[in-house]
Order: sequence, then C-alpha cells, then structure tokens
Amino acid sequence: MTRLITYILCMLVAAAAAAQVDVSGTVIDKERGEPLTGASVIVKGADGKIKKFTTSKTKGNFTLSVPSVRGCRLEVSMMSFAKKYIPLDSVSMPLTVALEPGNTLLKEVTVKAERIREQGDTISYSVSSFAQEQDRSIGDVLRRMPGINVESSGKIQYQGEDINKFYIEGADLLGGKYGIATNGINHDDVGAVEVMENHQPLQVLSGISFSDKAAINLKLKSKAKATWSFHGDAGGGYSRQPEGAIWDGELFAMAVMPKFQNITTFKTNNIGEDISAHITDFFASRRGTDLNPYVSVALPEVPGLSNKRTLFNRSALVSTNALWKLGRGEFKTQLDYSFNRITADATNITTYFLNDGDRVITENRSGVDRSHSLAGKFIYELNQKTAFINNILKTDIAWDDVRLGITGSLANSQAASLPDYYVSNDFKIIKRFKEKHLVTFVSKNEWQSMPQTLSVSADNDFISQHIKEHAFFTHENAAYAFSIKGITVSLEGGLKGYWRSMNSHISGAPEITDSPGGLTNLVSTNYFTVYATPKFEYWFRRVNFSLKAPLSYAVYHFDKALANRNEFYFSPSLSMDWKPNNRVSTGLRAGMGRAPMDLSLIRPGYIMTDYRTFRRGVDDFYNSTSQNVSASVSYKHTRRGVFANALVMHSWSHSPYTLAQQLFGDYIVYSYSSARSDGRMFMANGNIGKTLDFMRGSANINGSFSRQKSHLISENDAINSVGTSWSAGAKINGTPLRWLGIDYRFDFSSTRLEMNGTKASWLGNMENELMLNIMPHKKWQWHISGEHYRNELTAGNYKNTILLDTKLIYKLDKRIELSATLNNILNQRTYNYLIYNQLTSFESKRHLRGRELLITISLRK
Amino acid sequence: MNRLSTSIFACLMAIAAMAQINVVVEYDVTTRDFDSGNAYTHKMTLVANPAKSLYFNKMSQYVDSCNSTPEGKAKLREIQLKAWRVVQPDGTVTYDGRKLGLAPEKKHFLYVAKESEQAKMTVYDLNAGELWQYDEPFSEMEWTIANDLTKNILGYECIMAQTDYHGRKWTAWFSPEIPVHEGPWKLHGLPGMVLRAEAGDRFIIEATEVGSTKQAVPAVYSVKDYAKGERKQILADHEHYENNLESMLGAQGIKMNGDGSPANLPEFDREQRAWETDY
Repeated sequence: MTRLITYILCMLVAAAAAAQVDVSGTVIDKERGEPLTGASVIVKGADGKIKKFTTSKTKGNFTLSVPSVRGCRLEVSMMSFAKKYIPLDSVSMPLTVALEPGNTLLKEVTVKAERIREQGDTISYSVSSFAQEQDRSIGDVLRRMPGINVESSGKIQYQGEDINKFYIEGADLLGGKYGIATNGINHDDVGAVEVMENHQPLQVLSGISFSDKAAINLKLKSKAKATWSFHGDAGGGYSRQPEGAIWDGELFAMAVMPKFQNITTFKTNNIGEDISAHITDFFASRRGTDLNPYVSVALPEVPGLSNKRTLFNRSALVSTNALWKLGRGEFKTQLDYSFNRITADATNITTYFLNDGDRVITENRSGVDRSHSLAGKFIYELNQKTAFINNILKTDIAWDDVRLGITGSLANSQAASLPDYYVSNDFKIIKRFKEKHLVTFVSKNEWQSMPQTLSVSADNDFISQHIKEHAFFTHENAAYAFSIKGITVSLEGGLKGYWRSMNSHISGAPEITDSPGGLTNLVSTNYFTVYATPKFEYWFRRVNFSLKAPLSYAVYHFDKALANRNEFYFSPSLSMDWKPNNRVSTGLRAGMGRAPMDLSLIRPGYIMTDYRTFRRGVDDFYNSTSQNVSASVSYKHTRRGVFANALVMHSWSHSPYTLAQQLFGDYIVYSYSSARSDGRMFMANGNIGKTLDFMRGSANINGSFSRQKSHLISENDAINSVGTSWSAGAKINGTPLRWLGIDYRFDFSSTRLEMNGTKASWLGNMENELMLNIMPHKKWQWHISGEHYRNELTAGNYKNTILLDTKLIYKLDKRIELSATLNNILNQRTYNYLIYNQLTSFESKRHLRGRELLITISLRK
Repeated sequence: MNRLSTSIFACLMAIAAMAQINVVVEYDVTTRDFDSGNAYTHKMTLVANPAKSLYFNKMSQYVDSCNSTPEGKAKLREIQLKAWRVVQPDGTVTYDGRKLGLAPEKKHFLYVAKESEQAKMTVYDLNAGELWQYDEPFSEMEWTIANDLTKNILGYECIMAQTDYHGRKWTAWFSPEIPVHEGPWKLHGLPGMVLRAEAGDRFIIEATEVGSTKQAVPAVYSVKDYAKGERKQILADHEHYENNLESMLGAQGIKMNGDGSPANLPEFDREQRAWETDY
C-alpha cells in the first residue's frame, strides 16, 4: 500500500514536472553576432494572450517556464531591431534568436526643456472646499489655501511674494487697493480662486520679459454677477472712557457686469480702529518729490500699545472704484474720501540733562486732529500684444488741522494747518516691432506742494509761521544684463531731475534771535543726476560673491544762494553667501560709500516745529560717509522642528556737521555746528524656535543687544552719548485640545543711557500676554485675552498695568452673525511710561480706552 | 572633398548605429482632491532603455543641470535675470535682487532612476522641506495581466495590468509594441511600456507623446545634495511636516494669521494625497 502511494505520488510529481516546459535561449545581434541584453521576450498562447515574459540578461540569455508550449509562440523584440516571432511547437531548446536591424517605429524627439514659460500654471481652488464656519470675507478663505498668505490689511502673498495683480472676473478694478476686495467680498459670492503663476500682466512683454509674480483672479458665482450685491455690519455699545455711545459699521456694495464693474465701501467707527489702512495702495511707490512736513504738532501717542487701547477717534471713509471696458482698452476711476477726528490728552514730564543741573518741564496736553483726505486716480490702459499704453493721473489732496492746548509750565495753544497737494502723471508706452524689438517710452512727473502754517498763542505772545514749499520731480530709467565667463553683469541706469523751493517766515518770534540765523528762509535746491548701478556676481562651489557698485554724477544748483556743486558718488558693497549644506547658511556683507545730505537741511534760518522747538539747518551743501559690516547665520532642522538664526552688525557714520541743542529760556533750539560728527552702532540679535508636537504648537526664545555711540553738542559742550539696550523674549502657543487654543508671550527689555562717561541706571520694561481661544461648539466661539505691563519709571520704581478683554461670537446661520465684545474689563484708564532720548528723559501719563461693550450684528445679502 | 564628406557621413552613420536608442515618453500627471474638486496637472518625462531609465520633470532637470557647473550657473543666472526683470503693475521694469540664488522654475522635485541590472530604483525628492534619496528593490511590484482588456493609447494597443503597490491598487495600460519593460513614476516590470496608469481617480498618469532619442538617459545632478534615507521614514516625516507646518512656522517666529489665532490647517489626508500609503 505504502509503495503504491509512493508510486502514485512519484507519477504525479513527474507529471507536474513534465507539465512545465522551459523556454530558454540567447538573443543575439544577427549582423555582429553579439549577445543583446534587455530584449523583450514574451510567450504568447494560441489565443494571442501573454503567458509569460522576461528580458534577456547580460549574455543575451533568457529562461521562462510555461505549462505547455502547444500553439504558443515566442516574440522577441528590442528597440532598433525587427521583431522576431518563433512558433514554439517544434523547436528545440535552447534557442538562438538572431535579431535583424530594423526601423524603430518611434519618431525621433529631442529631450530638452521648453523655453522658460512666460505664463505659468494656473491653479484653480474651489472656495467652498476651503471655507470654514467662521469665515466671512474671501480673505479669510484665501488665507487657508496652500501657498497663499493674507495680511490683516488684505495684502496677499503667494509663495512668500506679493502678488502683482488682483483680478475680479479678469478685470483689474482696484489696482493696489485690492485690500478692499480681500476684506470686503463675501466668500459665498466667489466660486473659485485662480492663482496664475508667472503672471505677465503686459501682453506686449510676453516672450521678452518674464514675471515671476503671481496674480489672483476671483471667479464669481453666477448669482453674484450682473447684479449688485450688498452686505454690512452694524455694531453699537457703550464705553466708560470716552464716556458715551460707541459704534462700528460697514457697508459693502459690488457690481460685476461684462462691461462695467464697481465696488463701493463705506465704513465708520469710534472704537479705536484706524480705517484709513483699508484703502492703502499696496502697489504705491514712494513719492519722488520727497517733501515732508517741518511742523510736527503731533498729538500724544502711546507707543507699544495697539490703537484699540489708545485711539480716541471718529472715523469714516467712502471708497468708490469703477471700471469701464472701452473697445480694447479700459478706463478706471478710483475715488476715496476719508475723515478722521482724533482727540488725545496726556501729561508729560520732560527732563533735559544739562551739565549745570537737570531742567524739568511739566505739561498737560489736550488736542484735536481733524484730517480729510481726498484721492482720485484716473487710469487708461490699452494692453495688446503689440502695444501697451498706460496713463495714470493721480491727485491726492489732504488737509490736516491740529489744535493742541497745553497747560503747565509753558501754557499755550497751538494750531497747525498742514495741507498737502500732490499731482502726478505716469505715462508709459511700449511698442513692439518685429517680434523681439521693443521701444519703450516712460515719463514720470510729479508735483507736490505743502504750505504749512503754525500759530502759537501763549499769554500775550502770538507767534505765527508760514512755510511754502513745492517740488517737481522727473525720472527715467532703464536696465540691461549680460554674462561673460561665469560672471553675470547687470546694469541699471537712468536720469533724475528735481526742482524744489521753500520759503518760510516766523513772525512774533521770542528772543532767540541773538543766535545766528534769521527767521526767514528762501531756499531753492535743484539737481540733475545721471546714475548707473552695475552689479557683478560670481559663484564658486557653494559660495556666491556679489559686488554692487552704484555710480552717480550729480549737478546741484542752489539759485545763487550757494555755489553750484558737481558731485560724483560711488558706494560699493560686497556680499558673500555660503551654504555648506541644506541646514546651514551664512552670509557676510560689507559696504562703504558717500551720500549727499538731506536737501531739506539747507536752511540758514529758523523753522519752528512746535511751540518750543526751533530748528535751523546748514548754509552749505555737504556729503556724509558711512561704512558697515555684518554677518548672519541661520540653521534649520525640519524633522526635529528646530530653527535658529543670528545676526551681528556694526556700522560707522561720519558727517562734517554736528547736531547742537541749546536752551534759550523755555525754548529749545537745534542747529548744526561745523564740527565733525562720528557715530557708531553695534547690534546683535538671535532667535531659536522649536515645534511642540504634542500640542500642535511651537516655542521660541529671542534676544537682542544694541549699543549706539553718537556725538552731540549741548549748551556748547561736546557730549558723547552711548545708548545701550538689550531685550529677551519667549513665546509659546498651541492647540492642546481641539476646542482650545493657547498663545502666550513674554518680553523683557532694558535700556541705559551714558553721557560723557556718566551712566544712568538701567530701566526695564516687562510685558506678558496670554490669549485663550475656546470653541465649545461650531456656532459658538469665545476669546479671552489678558495683557500685563510692568514698566520701570525710575530705578526700582515700577508701574503695573493689567488689561483684560473677551469676545463671544454666535453664528445664527450663514447670513447672520452676532457678537458681543467686552474690552478692558478692569476699566484701566491710564498708562504711564518713560522713554530716554539722547539728551532727555520723558515721562508720560496717557489715557486708555476704558471698559466698553459692543454688540455687533453682521448681515449679508 | 566629396569623398571626405562621404566618409565623414559614413562615420557618423556608424556612430549613430552604435548609439543606444532610448524611448522617450511624455506624461501628464494629474492629481485630484475629491473633497475640494481641485485638480493639478504637471508634465513629467521618462527616458528609458532596457538597462536604465530616468523619470523627471524637464524644467527641473534643466535647472539642476545648469546649477551643477559654474558656467551653467552663470547661464541660468542670465536667463533668470531676464526672468527677474519684474514688471511692476504700473509698468516700470525692475530687478528683484532678493531672488538671486533661487530657481523659480524648479517646482517638481521628483526623479526616479531605475537600473535593471541591480534590480533597484533610486528615488530623489523633496520631502518634509528637505532633499532626500532612497533605494527600493524592484521586487516590491507584482503585476497581474488582464489579457482581455485592451485600450488604444496614442495609436498603441495597450493591455491592462494591475498591482497592489505600497497601499494603493494601480491599474496600468502597457504596450508590448514598445519593447522596454518600463513605465512612469516607480512603475516597471510589464512586458512593454506603460502609457497610462491610475490609482483610482486620484492619481492619473497618461502619456501624451511617445518618441525615441539617441540622447543618453539623463543623470540626476548634484546627488550629494540629497541626504540618504529610508522610504517609510521619509514619507512619515513628510506627513509629520505637513501636519505641523503651522507650528514649524511658529518656531521660526512666523504666524499664519495676522491676528495670531490658529489657522487650523487641514490634516494631511494620507488617503487623498500620498502616492504611497503603507508607511
């Protein structure tokens, strides 16, 4: 029996073995007789289906096992050879498969990157999938999309870079004021957000100049198109300081039609929110006319505290923006009007450190600042493949009237009127010829006028000052780049012209006139500059060297008041960056140069900047020189969540004039003495951060140190002053529970002033802030926050302030949201602080917004 | 003269005949997020012969090849300077110096280099914010061919095959008419070129062009920049990085929301976003 079983088993095994047929052989090149590696070897059954496959190995050999070869055929193929079919029914193994050269069916291509794409990818995000319960504006949703960052002003960055255009349905209605849209448009009206990478807004430059900036386009839902949509918030409440009613409201209207778009907003509040930031133009460039007010009758401010604590305001703004499509061009108007009334009260104690004993001035200040601003922008743009024409006419008119009454050792009242008139026109035409040739003409012209008046009445005296100043500026520039032997050279150059005139007169001035300089200025400062900024760059292994060598030649003309000057400026700077690996990067920088003085300092006569400060400039043109060196290092270890950086900087500056301070009775007079002034500054700071994975949070510590040496003249004595300060801080935040977020911050800073070797004591300030965010339910949110300030007024004398706020939000449904805010629960009404200046100490008592309750309802259509 | 050119031509022909012919396949890679309805498509290229292959993005490879030599770097710099000629919204043209040292066009970091002889592939990629490389043996991919299911792609008759690979079920369509046992991404080991592959509807790789070239299989540049690691660890680190981005930025002193409130970024959805889910 056992033998029988063994026998049957042997039979079965043999049969099984017999059922597997080995197909083996060698693939060779028929012409050369050499083995071919990597040929595709497939056994197909009678039905044409793949049964087994392999590739030929190093010596051209292959082996396959198939259950049966009946009806099967072998297919051997390889690129550049003709395919060979071998029926397996009647062949003996091993086979020799000789492939004959054959045509490749595939067309030949070149593997090469395409030219840099002018227009990058467009990514479309669906808004509804990113929107969460608490979101209101489209900005709230954008913030959550990958790569997009939205600041509270509404400014958008994509991959860390500011975007260059913000479109609504493909039209650029708002220009740089798109913050109105980010903070205003209801996310429910937007279907999708398109991010257009490498967006080149000028069609005429496509294929010639490339933009690495991204643009954002909002695709509206059909319900929001071809109709006006509205939404708004209204809030009202009561405050203990200022005692009375408070309000906060907003109305937003939008129309998006095929040929016309409009966005109009209206905002008003008296809860300490500065709404002028809502119409900031993120694309605005600095004014070339460069006029700044001389008069500074500023209302008392509280540094280090947010506006919502300290701003006693009544504000309103209206902004209306319209766009019409006209044939192939677009015409846009943007009109903004804002009104701000700010009141402030403060008690100040100013101590002037003098060699013959300190002088103390106490004053109570109470003032009102009323400002109006009206801005209009009229734009015509034609954007085509062969031509680009853009003309922007801009007018900004602002009136700022300040009244400040002072009681105390120098009782008086001041009234300043500081209007500012500005008109500019930017015209640009780019025409394209023969594909790659561009002719560009740019003309940028600006005019600004700032007539300022200041009048001070004290006891029986009345001082008044009138200043007239205007300037015209014109600028043209071009850029070019090329590369020779591994060194890249880029060149930027242009022309600038500037005409400015200023005249001022003080009448009824106090007895300070025995000092040199009159009470009248009649100045004209004009220049014409040609400049070029060549830049050289070189890479060696992982080190990048870069040399910038800006050169300019300027002709200064002072209308006979001063001799004309021809000046040549050269300010080279060198930098070296080294990245030994992906975790560490280091940099070294050094620079030196010469620069012209601030032209507004050319004024031999006095200017009154406030009721007790008179400032005189110089009656000469001069240049100052400076040097600087700095080193930086940064480290990151992403897996461990560790990030650190440090920076050290030292700089020197030299000027032929020294700032001098002198007291004449109760008046302070600043002037410049012809004495060399050298300054030195040293600064170091560092930061280390670590993620805290257990609570999805992070912790940071940071520190800084600075030491500044400067040279001054006070009461005819030379003073070397050294200011030293250091600070240390820590932060920790996280979400330990799904319904709880925590954010804690601690900062300590200390400063010391040293004059001619006499050291004052260190004075320290400490701040603690804790924020809790509780989300017990989807419809409810509760914020609690507390701040603690501990300020050292004089050595060992501290002032503590604690501020507590809370806010409760309830979302009734998608259209209605209710919230209740209780700010400054402890009703802290004053905030005291102390600042050291170079030659003074300044102690201040300021008012805070008291306890206030605000109930707000938000509605949307 | 005529004879000379004839012999040069003959020489060239001989060299051409000796040169290895490589298959080039251009693919469109589409990833889709069903919860949001967002789809992203980018281009990848496979250059393959029976011995080795490289799967890469041409623009990234171009940037990397430039950056590997000083001359190339300078050349790239020249191109980039053109690129950095930023056109401001008001029409003025400026250079943005802060961008020097960046290669804005390198967006797709993945390279997959396969070598048949060693039966392994090396994957180079940006994971968790850093450059990593790892080796993987060929043996981890086992296919089942469904002979009955065929599809015509770009004029090639393709056969369907399936594999369970690293947590996802992949369906591939390969053409035995292109006799290289290769495919896009990590896919390989079918008797022909893979012209389409999909893992559900979330990941779709589809050939857009097939050709041949005498150019060699490109190299991965600056291999030293990629730290060596292990696949599962790298993928797990990447998920950790994505899930903790907010606290990583926080550790660098950067807040995602202006008002300091938590941004509550969505969790990294492995099922939706990870090509491999078995780590």
